[in-house]
Amino acid sequence: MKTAHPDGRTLVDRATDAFTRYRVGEREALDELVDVVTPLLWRSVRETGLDVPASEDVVQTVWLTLLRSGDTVRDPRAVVKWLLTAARREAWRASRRLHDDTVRHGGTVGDGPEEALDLPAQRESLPENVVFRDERQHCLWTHVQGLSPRCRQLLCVIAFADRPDYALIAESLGMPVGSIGPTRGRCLAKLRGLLDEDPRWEGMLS
Amino acid sequence: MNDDTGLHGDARGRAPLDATDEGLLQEVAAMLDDLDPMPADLVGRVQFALALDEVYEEVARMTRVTDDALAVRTDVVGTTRADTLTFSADRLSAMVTVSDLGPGRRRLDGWVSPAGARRVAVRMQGWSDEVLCDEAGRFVVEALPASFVQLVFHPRADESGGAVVTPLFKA
Repeated sequence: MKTAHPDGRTLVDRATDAFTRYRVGEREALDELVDVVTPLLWRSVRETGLDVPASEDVVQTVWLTLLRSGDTVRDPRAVVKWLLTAARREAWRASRRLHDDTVRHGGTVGDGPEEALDLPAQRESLPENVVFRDERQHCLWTHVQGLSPRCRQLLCVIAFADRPDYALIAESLGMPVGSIGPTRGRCLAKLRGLLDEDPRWEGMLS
Repeated sequence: MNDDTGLHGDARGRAPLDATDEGLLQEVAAMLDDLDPMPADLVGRVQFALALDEVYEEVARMTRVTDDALAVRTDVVGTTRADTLTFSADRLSAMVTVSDLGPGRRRLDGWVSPAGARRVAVRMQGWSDEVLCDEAGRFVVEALPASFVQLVFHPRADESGGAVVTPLFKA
């Protein structure tokens, strides 16, 4: 979870405000919207298992699509949900184009078969030269990877959001109501359970 | 559906979020920033891609061609590297090969279908150009600086409808 913004507004508040101003003709507000929401889109796309270049393409495509069809977003408050939903659809299309002939294993995200997004059981492995900050971080990485693909995506996206926005973001990712916020939800409970059972985690102070 | 994602879970999942949860999510964010950060220039690139003067009707989906045999097929002599990208939209499709002409210089060889004379706008930070497809749908952009580039395919004179825009890609 991010530290609360100085003015107390959440990511969704700030995005709604920027999108509202953009729609009444303030061109600079679009840059602000991009600045606020892109990190969340990036994370949601990366956790679908697409590699870095493909994830960059998807994020750009989603923004270009908003610029063209932003009029279809009736309520400015829905812009973050619109973007996350579009990112989910674009990531699915990109992954279909790239891996048409590969068999994927893992969970399915989405409401219907057309929007179902196959998530890989394991995300792409880390670059070879990756260095964990410490043993605690290595341990956390291992257990986050041990979650189901849907839980892994949810927690990795939510980690970049503000608490009052959790439920809306979870819903935008196609998760059931109550997946997180205001209660802990099963994904976070599962991660805490995995960490509690790991003797390595217990002795390491944060 | 996985059994660890639903609402009807153990009592622990129904407990309110507490300080431990908040701390854990902060650690997850810090871990991802360390190990798999968003490219630092991505926000700037998106902002540039959106700062288009041209009105467009469709965004082309971009795919990098990974087949090495296809990627090295180029008519340009003396190139040291070539990448091929394909673009697909409802109203047209295109293939573009990026060739490395030496330090900081690139060349684009493109082919658009349906063929015929159409304008292709080439946008880069601090540099822009416009080229014309020939009757066979081919276009060339010579001696382009090595940077991110965005293409805008305009409709032919006899086509109705608007332009097709691509995401930025590395040239």
